[in-house]
Amino acid sequence: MEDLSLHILDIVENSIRAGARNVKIKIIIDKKNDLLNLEIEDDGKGMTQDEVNKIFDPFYTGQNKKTGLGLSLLKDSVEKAEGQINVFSKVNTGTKVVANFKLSNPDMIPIGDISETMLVLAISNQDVRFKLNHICNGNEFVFDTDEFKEARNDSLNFLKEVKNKLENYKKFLATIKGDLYGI
Amino acid sequence: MGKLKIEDLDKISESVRKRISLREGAGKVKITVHMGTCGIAAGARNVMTAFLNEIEIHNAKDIIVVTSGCAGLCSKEPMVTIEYENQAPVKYIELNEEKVKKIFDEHVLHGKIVPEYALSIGSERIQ
Repeated sequence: MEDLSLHILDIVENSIRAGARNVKIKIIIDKKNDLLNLEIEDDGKGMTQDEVNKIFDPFYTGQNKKTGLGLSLLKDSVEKAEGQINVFSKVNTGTKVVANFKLSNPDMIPIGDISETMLVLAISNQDVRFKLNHICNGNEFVFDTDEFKEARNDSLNFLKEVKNKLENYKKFLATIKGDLYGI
Repeated sequence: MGKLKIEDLDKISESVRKRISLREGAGKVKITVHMGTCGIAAGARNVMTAFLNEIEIHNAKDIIVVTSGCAGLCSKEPMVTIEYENQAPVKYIELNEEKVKKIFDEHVLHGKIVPEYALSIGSERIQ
């Protein structure tokens, strides 16, 4: 994967296939401690401890026709940036992926275009609630698809409203760019 | 099985409504972008945003866009399946933004298949 936004898309697509109706994504950039924390939490079908133990094995998958590479690729990106990754899951409750990266590591993966990832997720899964909290040194941007509930019956209007909100997210990202060590 | 709640029925109703809307004409075309790990790594997100841009440019209201997992042909990604009303589904392979424009103009808007980018129509392989 080229960047973090594509990893997020891949992990959240897993959540959708696991029947999630609510997905929370939290990105916290903590310049003081030189960390980027990523959390993705869903209310999908969850996994047994046995499945969680195998989740980082390349080509392990709980679903048909999946490559089983998504989480092992994310783990690889995390480890290159001296980070850590953990997965917590409970059957019939959901799954939480927690990863952190050392921001100043030269192998830190670029963040990429998270607004495009959120656009794709929101439009193709209009019955799922996505909530993104992006926090950078005290500044926070919140994107919550519940805001566009009323527009769901008109898909074109829904698309325009989501895109409009994500334009604001792009402006937020531009304002914090100086805090990201150029990534 | 536990007792069904009103919210559960709402969820079932919503998901069935989406599935049958194409058949009943609320959506004339369904675009499925294959968004497995292989598809994402090959550029499926850009393909999907290219379709969304075309929808916005043309003010197209009767189009459903969804994602699915890997279709099993990783080397042909990015792939999409187009289902135009009353036609067999068509799988398009190795897409980019330029190809998306042509497919949107010809197939999505006018029902005319673009054979040079298609792998199969229904269960029939083209090449």
